[in-house]
Amino acid sequence: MTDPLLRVEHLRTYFHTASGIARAVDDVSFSIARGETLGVVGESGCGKSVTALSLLRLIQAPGRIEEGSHIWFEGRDLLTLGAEEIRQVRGNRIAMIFQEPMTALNPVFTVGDQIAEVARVHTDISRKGARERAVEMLSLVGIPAPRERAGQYPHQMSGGMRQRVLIAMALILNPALLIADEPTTALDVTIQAQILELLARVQQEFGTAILLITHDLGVVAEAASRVVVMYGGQVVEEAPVRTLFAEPAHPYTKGLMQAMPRVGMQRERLATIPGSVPPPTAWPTGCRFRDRCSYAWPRCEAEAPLLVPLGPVHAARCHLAEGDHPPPRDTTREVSPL
Amino acid sequence: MADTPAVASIAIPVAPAAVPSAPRRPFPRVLQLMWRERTARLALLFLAVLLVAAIAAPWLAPFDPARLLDTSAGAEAPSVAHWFGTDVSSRDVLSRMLFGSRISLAIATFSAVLASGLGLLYGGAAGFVGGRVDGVMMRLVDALLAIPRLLLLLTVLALWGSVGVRSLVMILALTGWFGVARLARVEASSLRRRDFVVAARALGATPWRVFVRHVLPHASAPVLVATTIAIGQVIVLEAGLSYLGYGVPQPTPTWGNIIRDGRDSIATAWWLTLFPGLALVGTALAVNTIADRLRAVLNPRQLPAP
Repeated sequence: MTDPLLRVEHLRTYFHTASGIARAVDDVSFSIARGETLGVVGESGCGKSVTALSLLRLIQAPGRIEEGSHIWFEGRDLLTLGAEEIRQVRGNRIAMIFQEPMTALNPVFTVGDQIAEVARVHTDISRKGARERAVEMLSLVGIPAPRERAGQYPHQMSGGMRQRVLIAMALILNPALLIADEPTTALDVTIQAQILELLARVQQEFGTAILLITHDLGVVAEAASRVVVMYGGQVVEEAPVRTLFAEPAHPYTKGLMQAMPRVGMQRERLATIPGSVPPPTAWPTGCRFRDRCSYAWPRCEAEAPLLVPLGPVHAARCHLAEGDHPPPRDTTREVSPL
Repeated sequence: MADTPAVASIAIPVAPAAVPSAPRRPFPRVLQLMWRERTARLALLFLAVLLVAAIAAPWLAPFDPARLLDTSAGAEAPSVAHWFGTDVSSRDVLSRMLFGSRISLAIATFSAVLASGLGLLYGGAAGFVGGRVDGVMMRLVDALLAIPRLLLLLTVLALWGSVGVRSLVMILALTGWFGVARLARVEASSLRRRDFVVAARALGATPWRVFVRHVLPHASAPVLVATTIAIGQVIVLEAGLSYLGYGVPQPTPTWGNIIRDGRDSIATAWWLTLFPGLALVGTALAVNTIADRLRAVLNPRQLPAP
């Protein structure tokens, strides 16, 4: 494969708070090829969104991207750029859409105005020309009567429509990479499918690479070609989407799969992963998942596992992946129906 | 949309739902909402009449406000010829009040607007930038707020000697922005973390653009209310300064100056203080009523459904 579009190396984003250093993203590496969709999954607090914000250097104090991190994009390390240079990248080469279409639009301007603004920030386009482009974009993202809609305010639109507007804003300058942070979480299921379809269509048409951040494995299965699973600020497994679903290697990934409902399932309750994510100021020593893992044995406490390759494109951060399998601890977690 | 029949909400919308009404224009809408309450309506009418009177003073005033009509007569009680009487120097009080309203209103409006603009920019910038800069900028405001405004004004004006209308506006503006700065700072610092502000930054807007387009407009509603309150305050403050002899220098009529003229003869010539006093109280009351209603109207949570 040629040089990837984006290569993140040893990204560490720490928040220096009064109650200690929160290592929200701790040595994360991954890459995205041109035109590819990479899914990033994990539960709340695993560092997905901080990773996304770090890519555009939108982390605010007390957060900081630590020394030794690299974000290679189109031949440059984004972390070495000046304020003006990174601003030129934002919205122009890398665009972002957010989780909450309800609040990510400014309520006091019309949507046409807000879409046009992106073009006017980065190019010399005239007010009128930008306006025309905005209308074109609205029609491209499948909004009927785009000219009338452009003159409307966000509160006059539904959630799905606003998410389309946000996508139009993100794509108006045809960026090489689109970061979508939980783009469908706030929408209901039918709209969710439409938005995913739209993203797929746009990707085919423009060859945009997409970094799709979600906690929803269903969304990943549908939209991503490769998946990175994050836990505790680290990548715990990386695999093509089929491999991940067919043979998950990390106990956390397995837990996530078991927690997913399946059509025709007879059980009353879904399996759960016990416990919750520890606070990022106090990751456990050794493996960060060991407190919740049914396979944990003493080595997991003594030694932090490395990301072990399981094949050319599959890797997992677990001692199990190294080959010596200890007997799993007996943890039948099936809760009998009340 | 208040007049849409209730049934519409349960009707199944036809695929692309009818495009809702044209973009609302905020100013007529605010005025319309204010008009709904009776006291606000009265206050608006009062101010409108006052404004027209002030603008049309040269045509409305029955006499030249500076002319000494009959130097031998002294203060005359209200009569058909002089509705509000004449003062000790035999000048028509109504005419002086009409011309005085121009200066009193102009000073109050300009200095309040100037002060609020200053406060909005200063406080908005502090809240938007945040961190240490914010801390230093706001401690300065705290320090300035600790000095009573009237004391500050009297000191400055006493040192200055006599001031013209323009300098007075400047001085009033420069001593009036601290409170607004605090207000704007709170708004801006909460806006800084709002999604659409982060989104604007993510799409490459310059910090200045984010500040002007996405932060200031949202901070301006409470500041608008504060400005209105400030106008009422400054009208009274200016009258107070004039009364104490530190305001606009004498021959120029302002409401405060007219009251000052009548100070010594309050027992015999009551009309010299009563009428400008009433105008003063009425205006301050009207402005405060409007500010109150404006606060209710601009608060989206108190707004009836559009």
